[in-house]
Amino acid sequence: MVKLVEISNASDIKAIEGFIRKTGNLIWLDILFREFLRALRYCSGLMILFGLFNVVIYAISPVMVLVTLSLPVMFAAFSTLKKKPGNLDTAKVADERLDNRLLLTTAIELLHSPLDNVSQFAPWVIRQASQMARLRAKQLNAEFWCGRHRMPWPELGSVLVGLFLILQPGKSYERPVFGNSPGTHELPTPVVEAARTSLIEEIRSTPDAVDPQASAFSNHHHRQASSDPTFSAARHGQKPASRSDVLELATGTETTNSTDASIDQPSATTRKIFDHVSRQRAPGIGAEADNEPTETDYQQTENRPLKLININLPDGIPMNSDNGTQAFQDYRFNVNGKRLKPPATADAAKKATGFASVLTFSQQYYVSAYYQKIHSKK
Amino acid sequence: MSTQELSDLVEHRIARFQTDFLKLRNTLAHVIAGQDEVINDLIIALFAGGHVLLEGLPGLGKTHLVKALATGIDMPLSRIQCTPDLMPADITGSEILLKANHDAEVRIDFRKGPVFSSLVLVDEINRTTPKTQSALLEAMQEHQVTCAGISYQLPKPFWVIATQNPIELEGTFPLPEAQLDRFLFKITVDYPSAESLLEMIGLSLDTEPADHLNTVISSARMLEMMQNAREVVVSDTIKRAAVALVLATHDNPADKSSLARRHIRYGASPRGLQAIIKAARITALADGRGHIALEDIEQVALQALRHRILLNMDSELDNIGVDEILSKIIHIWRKNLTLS
Repeated sequence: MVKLVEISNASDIKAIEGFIRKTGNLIWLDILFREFLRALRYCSGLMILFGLFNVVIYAISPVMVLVTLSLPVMFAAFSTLKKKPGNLDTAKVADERLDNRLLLTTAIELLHSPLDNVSQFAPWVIRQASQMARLRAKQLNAEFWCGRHRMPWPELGSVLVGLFLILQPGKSYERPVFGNSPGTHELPTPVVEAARTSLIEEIRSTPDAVDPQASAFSNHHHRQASSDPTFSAARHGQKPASRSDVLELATGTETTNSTDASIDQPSATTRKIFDHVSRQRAPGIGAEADNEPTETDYQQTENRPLKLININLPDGIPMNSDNGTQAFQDYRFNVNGKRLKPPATADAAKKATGFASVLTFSQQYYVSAYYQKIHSKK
Repeated sequence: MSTQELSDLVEHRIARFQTDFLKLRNTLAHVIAGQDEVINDLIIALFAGGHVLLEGLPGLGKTHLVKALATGIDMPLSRIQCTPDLMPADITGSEILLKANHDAEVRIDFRKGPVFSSLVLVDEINRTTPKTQSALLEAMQEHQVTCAGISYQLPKPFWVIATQNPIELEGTFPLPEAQLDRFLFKITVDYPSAESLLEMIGLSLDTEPADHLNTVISSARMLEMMQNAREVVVSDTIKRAAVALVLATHDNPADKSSLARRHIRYGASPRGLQAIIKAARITALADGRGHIALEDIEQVALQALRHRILLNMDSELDNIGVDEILSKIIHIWRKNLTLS
């Protein structure tokens, strides 16, 4: 079927289509500016929020910030691609902006209409449209760019401020690995492994240092260890746990026959374990069970000499590694005659017992007792 | 003929149409002061080939305007003054017995009524009975009159310009919807402004300006201009926009907050859509364009739709008129089109 475009004046068609294409590109560019300006606004807001969060509440990984900020930008890019105007849409927008009274729209429709349906006035309408296109094509760029040189300074300024805040040292660098936020009560695996390795090395390389004043802990230790399969030394030898027992507990696999020292007393080695755990930002069990801030406690206890503690274990604790955390949580312990406070909240209890995945029961007990003691003195 | 030559010819035609249209409008404006919009709408309807219902109070110059128009376009005018006892045959004509002088043979002949004229002024149409009103239906729609099984064609062009008084309701018979739908435009004649009234004193106190009016457009030229109007390009965008406007007067179950749902009982008919496009072609040509724009539809929509819409009881109780509701609908329609 013959269309009007096939018999119309080529220069007229070229002028109209050229104008439409050029206008379409400018409209698309306009959409691009608008979408990316919107994305910039979102990004600036997010940057400020992230920056404040980083400085005041919790450190944020710059990578995470970048990933988050890339979302509005990607959305803007996608939206721009999706909104590319067609010829007819471009003609409508051009008519609306140039007050053409649908001249271009009608001309575009006419060009692609079958010749049978075209009225006698059609060639004239196309010629009018081409004349208008030639006339306005020269002004088009100037009209489009008029008033578009304004930079979005407020948005850019916000982005810079946000960037500055994000690049500041985050609050979390002064905090333990175990944060207060849900799901962070367990140490990351590499830290656990490093702590274990370091502990083993320290225990191996350090001669035993038995505190002669220690007494009570071993009694309860012996009494309860029979039900704890991880307490192999205490169970089989019916004697005080030694440095090697601690070593065994720390590794979970190694065994030794060494019985040269008793674990009844908190030894220098034990102290080292505690200090090591403390240095590694290992679980702040005692502090967290008390629902108190932990970084201050660590700072305060970092160089404090370890003192003797007398812990009385209640009877009937199922010393099973599988449900050791449950036992620790549910039973009451006496330290130097004072009753240990149970975790105040469910979240605190979860954090307090979370170290079970890192250390065995006796290690948990040592660490907990130590920090409980520190807090009871505070 | 090449496209270039055709373009030149069309340009000449459009320019000539614009000139003649403005000439006729200005001439009538000199005769009837202060009714420029009414005159403009009346000429648009005439060039579109539609019938017009003029509604206004007595003494505003409706009949005078139609007389002046008939003179201006050189068309024969017949006037029917409607009364309650007017019969259909008084309008269409009737068969009579004729006897030749020298012949004893009697034959039946059809004597044409006043409707057999290019321009028929039906004065105070709502005063006559529905039976007589309906006699005009066939003439207005089919451009023919049927009597005793024989159809008689009416002259071309054929226009009915009816007038009615909106306040005298006693002893009147409101036009049925089917009859109203036949009118292309319903034009409301309002009171002229103070300046126009002053001008009117100078123009028509002692003389009748219409009596001194010369023909502005010949009847042949009138037909040519009407033919030109049919060549105006109507794009698909315009067609869709006009359809959207007509549908906006209908109750839309999906849009419970629409004005139509709240106020309108029956929306505009498809004839309303045709009327809009026909009239918009004339406004486009009068503006020197060969294609219809949205502004043309906006300009004629109220006149073309106001008599095709039936309001519901709530609107009448709230004393909201058709014009008010339609104006809002047109405004919303235009706004939505601009946004889209």
